[in-house]
Amino acid sequence: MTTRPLLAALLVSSAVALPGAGQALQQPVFRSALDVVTIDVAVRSGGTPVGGLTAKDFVLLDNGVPQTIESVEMEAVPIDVSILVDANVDVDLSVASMNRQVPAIAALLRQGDRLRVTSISGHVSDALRLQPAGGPLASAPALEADGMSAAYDGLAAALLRPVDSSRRHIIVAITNGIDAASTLAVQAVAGIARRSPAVLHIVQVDIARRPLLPSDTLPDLLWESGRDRRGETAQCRMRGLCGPARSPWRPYDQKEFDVLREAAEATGGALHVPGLFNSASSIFRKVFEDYRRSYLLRYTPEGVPREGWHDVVVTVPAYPSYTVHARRGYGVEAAGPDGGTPGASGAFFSGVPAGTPLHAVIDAYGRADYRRLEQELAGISDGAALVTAFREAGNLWPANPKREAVLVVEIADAAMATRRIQARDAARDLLRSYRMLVRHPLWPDDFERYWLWGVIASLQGVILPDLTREFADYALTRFPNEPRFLLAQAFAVDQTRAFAETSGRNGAGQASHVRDVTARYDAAARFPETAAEARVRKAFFLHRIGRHAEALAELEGADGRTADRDVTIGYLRRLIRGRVLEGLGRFGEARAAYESARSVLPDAQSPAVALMRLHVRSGDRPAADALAAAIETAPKHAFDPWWVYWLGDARQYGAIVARLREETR
Amino acid sequence: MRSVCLLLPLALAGAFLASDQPSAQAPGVIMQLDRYAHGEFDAVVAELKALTQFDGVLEELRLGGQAWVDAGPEPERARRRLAAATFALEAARAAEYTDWKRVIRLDAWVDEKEGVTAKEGADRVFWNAPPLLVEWGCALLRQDPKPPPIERIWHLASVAVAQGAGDMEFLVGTPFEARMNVPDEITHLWHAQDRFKTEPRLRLAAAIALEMRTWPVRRGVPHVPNHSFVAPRFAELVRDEAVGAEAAVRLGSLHVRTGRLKDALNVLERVEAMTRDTYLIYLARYLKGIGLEKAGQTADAEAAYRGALAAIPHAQSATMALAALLAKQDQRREAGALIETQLSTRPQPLDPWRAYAAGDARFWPELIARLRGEIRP
Repeated sequence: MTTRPLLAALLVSSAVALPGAGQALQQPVFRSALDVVTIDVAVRSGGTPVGGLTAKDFVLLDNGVPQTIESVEMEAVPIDVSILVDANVDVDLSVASMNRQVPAIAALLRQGDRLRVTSISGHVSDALRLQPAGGPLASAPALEADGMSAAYDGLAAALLRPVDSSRRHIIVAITNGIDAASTLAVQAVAGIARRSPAVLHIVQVDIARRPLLPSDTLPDLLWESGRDRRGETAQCRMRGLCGPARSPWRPYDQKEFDVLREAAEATGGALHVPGLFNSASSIFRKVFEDYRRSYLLRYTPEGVPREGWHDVVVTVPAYPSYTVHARRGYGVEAAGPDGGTPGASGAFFSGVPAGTPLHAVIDAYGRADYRRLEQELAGISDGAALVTAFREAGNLWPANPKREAVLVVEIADAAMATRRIQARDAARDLLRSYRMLVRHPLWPDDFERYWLWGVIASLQGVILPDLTREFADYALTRFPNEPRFLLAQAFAVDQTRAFAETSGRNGAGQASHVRDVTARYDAAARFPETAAEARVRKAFFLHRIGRHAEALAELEGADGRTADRDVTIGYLRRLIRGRVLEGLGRFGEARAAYESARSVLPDAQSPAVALMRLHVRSGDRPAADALAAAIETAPKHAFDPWWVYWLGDARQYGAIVARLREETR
Repeated sequence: MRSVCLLLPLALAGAFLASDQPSAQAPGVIMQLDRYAHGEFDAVVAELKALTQFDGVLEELRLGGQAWVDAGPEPERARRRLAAATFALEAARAAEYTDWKRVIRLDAWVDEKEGVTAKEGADRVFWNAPPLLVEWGCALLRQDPKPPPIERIWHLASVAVAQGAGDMEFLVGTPFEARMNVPDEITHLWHAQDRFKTEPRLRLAAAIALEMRTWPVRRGVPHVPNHSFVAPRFAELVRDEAVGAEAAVRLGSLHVRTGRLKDALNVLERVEAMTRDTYLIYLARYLKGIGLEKAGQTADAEAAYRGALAAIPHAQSATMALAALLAKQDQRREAGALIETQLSTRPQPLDPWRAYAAGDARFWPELIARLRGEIRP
């Protein structure tokens, strides 16, 4: 037996050493001395491992082509041992005993070997991560019985796990073979096993004690695990003794020992059927000792194409009575770029072409660079195209749907702001379809509330009363009595005839319209959050249709302190009061009201203009000139809330969106 | 009904029936209820979880629960009723992993008035304490002639508990097997629907209960009995705004496992236009992948599995499906990396496929939080 430096054998997952990727692409045939394949081979005579064989005793065919065996090793190569324990309820006693036996198994391994324990229940998980063996374990395995068994997934996972290129991998699976929850069918496991470099042994645990009746009424009965339904029915019929009515739900109920046996044998392993009293560690001891006495054949394939599947046949011609177990082949993967962890990036729908406006928007949004996002959105000229591209991109953040929901508001807002009909229609349709998607499955929640408020604020910002009304009506079906939505609804109704003549068939003062608007403002005024604003807006509505006394009563009724909590509303209350008092011919009081409004926002233009008008009316030209001069010298960016009176909650849009963005983090 | 059973092991029947007898295992249940109503939720639930039998809890509630509700002042009674019903629900959930019933086959069953009523081969169902606890709470709430909105939450929570326990017969009875004692069926869902006639989640729960009776199946067996019975129940819900997406997912799942791949893909394709619920998006993509793989459309199946993992990264079912598919195409490197990453992810993400049968059990934390919020004084 000879050994070669292991470092020379750059084995890949398929146990084939590969040169560099470029070289592989140029040389599709095995030629390099470093292209080494290793094959585990167990040779037995009457069930007893045969030792002492040398390279010249073996004949190895790779895709039918005889190969030169370069070395035969037995015990020098360190081993990774994966123990799979099926922890479903039917084998729960085995689980308990496995927790005790794992340390004993670990003690069988040598310095340099490694051990891991994987638990199979409703899902597959590592109960003991891969760790050096040959001494006390760093931690104990954490096996717990569970209802179901994803046995096939567990076997496939073990067979697919990458193995260090300088090591051998043996898998010992302790299972009753009953699969109840796996994604994969047993045939898939067999397919994976045929191409796995690992050696798989399956220890079939077939009997479990399972209490049928309450333990204090009858002794436990022996039940065959994974019991056959027909047998159960027969027992039920014969003895009037029916099993527990509730067994864990299992999407599948499959028991395919023949296929499992075939899978194990394809790797050079076997399926073991123990007696009742064989412990897992004693079975493992035998399997492991046999494995230690198996041969590791190394060769450099010659005369066969490099990539693809290679059938391997190993024989010992001089001793025809010996049985030879070896894996039946290996695959060589086409060289390609190293992938990271695909599927974890969330990039499934990332097919948005770079250089497009949508790409720039998504990029800025994805980086939470909101300043840039706002710049990008402000620069959008074709809002309809942006919305269309966004919809075609699909579900951009499936793991974080709130993220998409907030961007929907921002994109729709940008499209609306272009003031083009096509863009507005596209944005409207986007919002209509998305309002269904933003719903929590059980009930309206805070996110949906803020989302709808953001949409309404955005629609108010472009003065689309009909659409605002539609969304406010919808929002109230989701959040009845939500004050902001009641106010938005009232405001939208008010807006529909805001600029109509006071009287006439469709005038703002038409009786049914007045009843509608005032009733809706009254509904919003019932809530402290919106009472002041609702009264101020209702007062302005009444003032516009000439009902100044009622308007004044509303403003007097509005709690000044509450109104002043919001500077905008406090200011508007004073300003509109001045207008109402003017309407009533009470000019002195109107002047005081305007002065009061100026005290809230000294640089605001509207009260100054109103005062100027009153001064002119009273013949006080110097005072009017002084105010005109003050207006002209006011700071350039002085803001007057009156200018945005008709934009409703648009003043809150920034704050609403900021809060929504916070929820996406 | 007083009955005498013949020709069967009386001892065994006695053993079954014994579980209905009062037990001294749960002393101070009314005291626990009092503490629960005062907001000691976690402590009381921990005590309930430590129990192995719940007969005592049921018996004490039956004996003293109503009196406890009535002991409060009138304005407090609605809250106390909700507290008692929710306490019962918590107890039933603590018993989620126990058998909710026993089914026994009797060769003959004699009713004193009606004579022999048993049919050859019919089963008799004996309900254990957990479902009876739920039903006790349900009856308590139904005393209020007009159901308050919070009762809707209680009923949704009760469905979540029953689905988590996997006892669909408790919800809808059994249209599939003959029962000797049909009047003993609880059919809890019909009580809930009586109170909330338009609640779509209850209609969905009824469909799920029937769906779960079509499993388990043997893989590769194309025909599942009752497909024609179950599929229309989901189909009629697909247009519903609240549960349409889940109905579509489950209809798609039913189609996939019965080999109706074209129908499956059609219905699963519609899910993302109806919801952004991550759980449902994952299932729709995962099941689409399964269907596409069965149809031999490997590249599309791979994309669907990757899509599922974009919705719930590292979820095991799609990871396994994708890894196996890659391995089949000799892309073992990526397959191995996927597996290794999945198995080393802590904590393991919820896998909607593995939770599929439990229906609304996924909502339990939110539902019970709402109920407790309402009960907290």
